Amino acid sequence: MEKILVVDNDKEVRELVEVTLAAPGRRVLHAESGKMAIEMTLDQKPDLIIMDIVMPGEINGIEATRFIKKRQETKDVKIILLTAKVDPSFKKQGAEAGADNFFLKPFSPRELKEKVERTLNNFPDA
Amino acid sequence: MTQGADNPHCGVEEKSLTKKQVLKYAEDLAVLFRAEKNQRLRLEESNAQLKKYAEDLRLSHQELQDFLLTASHDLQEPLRKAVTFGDLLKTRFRQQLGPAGFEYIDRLAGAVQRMQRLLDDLSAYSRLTIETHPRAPANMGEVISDAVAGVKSQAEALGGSLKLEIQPNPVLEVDAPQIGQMFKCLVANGLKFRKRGVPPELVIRSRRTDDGKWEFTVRDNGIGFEEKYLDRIFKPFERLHPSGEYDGAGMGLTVCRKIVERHGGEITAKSSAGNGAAFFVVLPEKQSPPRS
Repeated sequence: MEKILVVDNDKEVRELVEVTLAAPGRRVLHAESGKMAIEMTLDQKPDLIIMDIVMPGEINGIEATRFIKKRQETKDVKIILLTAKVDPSFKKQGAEAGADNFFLKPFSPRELKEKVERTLNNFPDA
Repeated sequence: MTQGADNPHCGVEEKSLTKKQVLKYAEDLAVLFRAEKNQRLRLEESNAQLKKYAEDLRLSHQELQDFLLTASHDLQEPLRKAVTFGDLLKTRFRQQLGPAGFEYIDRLAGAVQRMQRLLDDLSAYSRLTIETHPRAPANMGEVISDAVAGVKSQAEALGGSLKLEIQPNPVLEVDAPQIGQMFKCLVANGLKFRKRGVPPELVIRSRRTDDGKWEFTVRDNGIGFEEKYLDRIFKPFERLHPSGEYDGAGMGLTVCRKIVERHGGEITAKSSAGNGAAFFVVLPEKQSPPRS
């Protein structure tokens, strides 16, 4: 069973992502904060994490990415970071933290699906 | 702890999705799902169609094979009669026939014999798809050296040689008896078309190709052929030399090609008149699902 973890404090975003990516043989998990994302990653070992950079709470998306990518048992989990802001420093920080791919909000369902497939199959960007 | 100064993005206030954004997304999603569903349906449809074509093709191929086998068998029967009556003519009407009549009957018998050979080869060819053996991993060095042993002694008896340079020695998934038959046929060809007065030198080599397959080269120092005939030599009943000069019905290389193709491989050749010939057989290591 393939597992995808969606991390966003906005429940609506998580649900839209889940509906878009739903497929046989795949489970979509939810986390609403960076802290929860780390806990669920350690617990569930997802194949892919789609995570918002900006989230309330003490751990944002970039920090959660850094944590997950540093740990031996979770470093192979693919991570796509989401951001609503076109801010080059985000991308730089995210890449340094080890994110596999980036995605700009708002996005269309088709774009999301393609991005997920490419990341899962190790083709970071078209 | 709320968003503190150590959080680099606490200043960015992200609004939740607006109703309009959600609706737009849902609409896009509906379009996407519809498109995916249509694509899936089209794919299923064309798959079903392909399966039907494949089955039709298999059946008509099977019919053709059956027909070939029956035809080549049934056609032998009248030929045997022709031979028998020719013999009868010769023994009972010796006086009336005279030497010219005798010669005509002999030539008639010769023609009939050639016809019989053609039919034999044709039925051997059509049996190739019927008499198959399970594909199993086989040591190609052993398969080849067993298959060509007879031709090797013939070559040596003529003062020549047949060398095997199967290095590296691959293990391939093959129908070993058929692959053996194919190599035997290739070296036997090399021996048959040897240059007069020159000891036949035959070599079989192996090498791994860049794309992970195996290439076997069968090279001889015989009379060769002009490369413009290359597309003819693998065709059924093609002979580059007038009948009588060399024995055979022109089916040998056709059979070889069929065996190679049944293994998902390819056979080609290189030559120039008077300079020997080289046949290249490329075989995959493993067989994809068996073909009919």
